[in-house]
Amino acid sequence: MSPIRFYLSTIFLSTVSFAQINVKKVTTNLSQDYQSVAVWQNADKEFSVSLMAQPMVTPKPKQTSVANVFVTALHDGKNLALRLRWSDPQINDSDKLKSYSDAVAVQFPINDNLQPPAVIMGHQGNPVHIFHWRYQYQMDVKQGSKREIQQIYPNMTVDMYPQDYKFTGNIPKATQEQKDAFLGGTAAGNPKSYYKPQGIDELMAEGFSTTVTRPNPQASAFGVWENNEWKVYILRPLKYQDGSSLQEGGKSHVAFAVWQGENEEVGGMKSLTMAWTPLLLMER
Amino acid sequence: MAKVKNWQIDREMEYPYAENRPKKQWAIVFDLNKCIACQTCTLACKTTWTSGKGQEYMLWNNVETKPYGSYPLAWDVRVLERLGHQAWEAKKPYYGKTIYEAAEAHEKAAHFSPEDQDWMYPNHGEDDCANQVNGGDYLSLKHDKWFFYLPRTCAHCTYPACLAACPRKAIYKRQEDGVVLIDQSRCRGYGECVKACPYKKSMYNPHTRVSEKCIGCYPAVEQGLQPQCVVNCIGKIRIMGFINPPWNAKADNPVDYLVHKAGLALPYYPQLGLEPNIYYIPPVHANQEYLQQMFGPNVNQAIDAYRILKDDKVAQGLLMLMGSTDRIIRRFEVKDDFAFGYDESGDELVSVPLVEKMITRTAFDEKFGAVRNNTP
Repeated sequence: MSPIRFYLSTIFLSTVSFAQINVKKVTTNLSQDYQSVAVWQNADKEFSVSLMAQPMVTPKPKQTSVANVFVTALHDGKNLALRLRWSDPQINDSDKLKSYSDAVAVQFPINDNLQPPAVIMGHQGNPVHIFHWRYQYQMDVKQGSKREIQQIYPNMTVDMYPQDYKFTGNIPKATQEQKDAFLGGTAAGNPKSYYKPQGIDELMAEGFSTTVTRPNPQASAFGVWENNEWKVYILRPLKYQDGSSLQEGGKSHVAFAVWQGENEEVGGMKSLTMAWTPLLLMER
Repeated sequence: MAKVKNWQIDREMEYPYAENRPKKQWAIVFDLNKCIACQTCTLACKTTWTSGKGQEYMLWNNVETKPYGSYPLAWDVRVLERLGHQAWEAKKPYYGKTIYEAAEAHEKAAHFSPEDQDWMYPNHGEDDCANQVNGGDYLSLKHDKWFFYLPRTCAHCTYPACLAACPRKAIYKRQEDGVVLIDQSRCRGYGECVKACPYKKSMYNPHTRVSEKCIGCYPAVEQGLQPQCVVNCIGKIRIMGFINPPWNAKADNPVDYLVHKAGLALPYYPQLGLEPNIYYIPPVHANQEYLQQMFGPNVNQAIDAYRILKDDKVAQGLLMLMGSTDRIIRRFEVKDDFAFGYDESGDELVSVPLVEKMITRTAFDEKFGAVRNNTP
């Protein structure tokens, strides 16, 4: 990005909308029941957030796939739970080649809750904290591991994998680490190659294309697809040592992005908010 | 977009990053007249690099039967179709559009995106020639029914489309040898490189959920060795070395000699604008129009040069050096009917005669008192 374009983007894209998401406090333990229908009856009415096709960096979607995401949230003094709802006529995971998972992301500022950085995933020196749910991760969680190739392509053939022999004779069986040496992403420690037990990624970013996955995510997430729409529940702690921290009674900001799998959306191919939405953690 | 010099199309062109040529550029030359599609290269690569989970369908090196064979399905036809009709006159720069110049606003390069089924045929149309062979046709020698084999690796392009398209900048081109690599720790598997590479040499691994590609056997190259697909070629049709741009070409560099000096070897689909670094000695018996589409309008000169090889002892000697050593030949010379290959420090690696000595043995072996015969 040219310096001028970057400068302009930080001025114009740090804008916030006037209305806000009011986060009511519940007395139950959200880490136990954030997925239950009953607890959400306590929440404020849904807030409609406008999205648009990502316009800044190539590749970009030709048109906006998801024009609105409807958001509501609760907190219990320890955790923040968000419920994100958007319309999606088709459910998509991304195990096969050229398939793309439905996904959603919620972004918080880190340094200053009241004066957030550029909404386009922060900027250099002013990072954002992102919670990224993918239906693909949820499919993994459902069976307790990533799906095996034999599950994805049942008719594929393979003679044998390296170090994975049925009969090894006198040779000791290979360790998982020795087997993993033959898997590029896994051997390189790429977080994309590993199972996500909580069904969510936590990321840090200082602008587009700079995302880094945080080790040991503390958030968790769960999505339900019915009646041609997704409802995704994301639970995050209010406090982080080195991430975005929220204060009961305090204000912060959030931004959103949605990926529509059937439109082959992934990475920068997404619908996103171009303004931060204020978020107020009410004391009751 | 920056303006960069692409010598293969003899003009400046648009590319997302500024020109930054590596210190050395990895390159392979293939003599297509000698390839028999035995797929030994394919298997050498497969067993070395792509035997893991998620790599079942991957062939970083493949050999396809032209005109109909392709992996993934119809990769060449579909990218040419996307580019549309472009003209290129012989002995002139290519003024048609490259895939970067033909890109629409939402993409880095004009591309098509293969489906998973397109990867399931390693050589669809294997051994189908261009016309039906009717009874009595096979000895006509007119070559109106033709096919040839096209072995392919990643071309470690000077202007890679995979690198241009990666939104995370997880793909890089090494300064020391020009090898293009996907950083396995940074890639997030968006698949933009798979889409953008017109040669379809980036592949998505559904097990590790990141993309992979031919690594040019860089661990071997770093030790002065040629890649697995080259050293295992039983037809000795390949030689790997380092190519210079034409303005720095050295006559005693094997690749420079074949590409720049003798004009025997040409890049494939140079009009796409990537400056690919795998070069082909075109097949002399295939359809000229097809070869022009694949190798550009000057392909006839390369074929003519190949036909008079008998008069060019240097080129002859160099072709004899192909497949003669596992090590990378940095310099060669031909003298006294022998061809010599030397390494970086000037030490001789190998010497081969231009013509093998002919030894005629009598039918009866006096020493052993036995009759020799050819019956196995």
